Amino acid sequence: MNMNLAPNTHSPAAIVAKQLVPVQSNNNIQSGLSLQTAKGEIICFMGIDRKVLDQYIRTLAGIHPIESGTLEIFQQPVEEIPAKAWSSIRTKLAYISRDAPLLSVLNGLNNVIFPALYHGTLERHAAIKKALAIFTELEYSGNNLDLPAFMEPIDKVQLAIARAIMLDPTVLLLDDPWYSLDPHDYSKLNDFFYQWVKNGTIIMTTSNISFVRKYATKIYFIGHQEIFEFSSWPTMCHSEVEEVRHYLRQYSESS
Amino acid sequence: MLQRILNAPGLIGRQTLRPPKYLFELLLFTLRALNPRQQGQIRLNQASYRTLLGQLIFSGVDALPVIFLLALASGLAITTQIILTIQLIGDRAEVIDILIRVVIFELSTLLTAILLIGRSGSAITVDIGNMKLNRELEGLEMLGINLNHFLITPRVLGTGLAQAVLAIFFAVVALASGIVVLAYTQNAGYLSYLPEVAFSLHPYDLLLFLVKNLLFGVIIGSTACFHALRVSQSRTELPQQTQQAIVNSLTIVFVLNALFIVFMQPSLL
Repeated sequence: MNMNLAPNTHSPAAIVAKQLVPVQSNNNIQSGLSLQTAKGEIICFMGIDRKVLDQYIRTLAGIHPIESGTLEIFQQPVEEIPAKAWSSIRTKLAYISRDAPLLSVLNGLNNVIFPALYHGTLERHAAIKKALAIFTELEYSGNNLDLPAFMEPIDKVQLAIARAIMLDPTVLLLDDPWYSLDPHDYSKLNDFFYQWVKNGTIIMTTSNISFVRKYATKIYFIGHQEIFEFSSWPTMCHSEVEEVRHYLRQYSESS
Repeated sequence: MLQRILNAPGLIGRQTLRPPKYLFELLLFTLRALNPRQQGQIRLNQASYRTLLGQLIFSGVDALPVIFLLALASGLAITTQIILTIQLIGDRAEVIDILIRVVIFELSTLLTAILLIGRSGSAITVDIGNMKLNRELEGLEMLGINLNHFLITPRVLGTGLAQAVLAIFFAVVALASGIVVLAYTQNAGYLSYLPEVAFSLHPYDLLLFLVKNLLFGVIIGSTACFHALRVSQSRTELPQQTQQAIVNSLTIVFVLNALFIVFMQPSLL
């Protein structure tokens, strides 16, 4: 079953990459990443080398340096974005790393509301109200007054997502959000992402095949020498590329 | 062997340049922390004020009991000794002058700074250093949060204000406790020292006292933050940077205090 959303191609692309190669990525790569996002898309990056996937997602977030190719974020070449503009870009382009680090000195609720207080988008009362509404959407079941050290991995990931969502981003960049979770927690995030993407774009690295199969609108497989783009899970499954077939065989063996 | 000998001048040069380079970097870091228009926007808002308030409570309010005890002990040991000793060899005006010089301007400033360095400076380095190791700071930057606005500036301002307030509190308690004890144990006439000391304080010296303490507090806070952000990869760096922050803060505060006397208060020499 493919539950793909129809991407909205009318609004300008938030991220446009052409032949993009991050610094220190796989040196053997012959062609870089070419990508153009659209509203409603769930773009998944897959591959065997975690480090390389990590570099690509961080490059798209504007954190990792570029070896070659071009990258435009909100219609601006990334190298021309002035330092003071990044603060507002970050509110629209949310990147959540694999560890989803929350501030250890603040409890869950304060972790979620403080970015909104910092950016002055909401007053404290309104921020709390919005945070609680996001918790409901996320099906968050933890105690939001606990400190991060005492939280379950799913709670930390949900709070990191909630913290980013508080700023109303248009693009969510996620580095394997299921990384630290038990499989029975997967569905909580799957459903949320499917609902949220109606208003934005999600780009993620993942090895969660069940999510990719159901929701991905575009899949990039980053191989040792080449990057392969697939429009859906079935097209990836029918790929003749040996690397992709090897990856899929590994998946079918492990499941 | 020959290579080592040839490298020696370079090594000596690098080692000589290290302290001024460190001081220059620290100065730039402090000025950036105190610049209200960092990256073109004034961003000391709700979230930053909460950090500032937290720092003031931790460095200032929570330190009051221990400062009180320290000041009380100093008053009993030093204020009483100064009065009893100096009055044997000098007149009343000289006793008051020495009380102002030693207890108010030097003892209160330095003992408060030592306590603030040991208590708040080390805590700030460990706190922010741990945040950096856990990649919490990267998480903040990814939310468009300027680390200076949110973490550094409130802490630097907090320690500055805390040092100023605690030094005043220390001076009052140390002076009053010594004089009251002498009045109780020796002669009630000693109580007249209190208003006389107060009236003998020159406004310029008081202003200098306030500026000096604010500056020392700011240096303590910024040195702690500066070393915390130097932690990069390993947990073993954290204790190293903490001890460096403590030692360097103490050195800078003591040297600056001496320079203050030489250049700003020549009348006290």
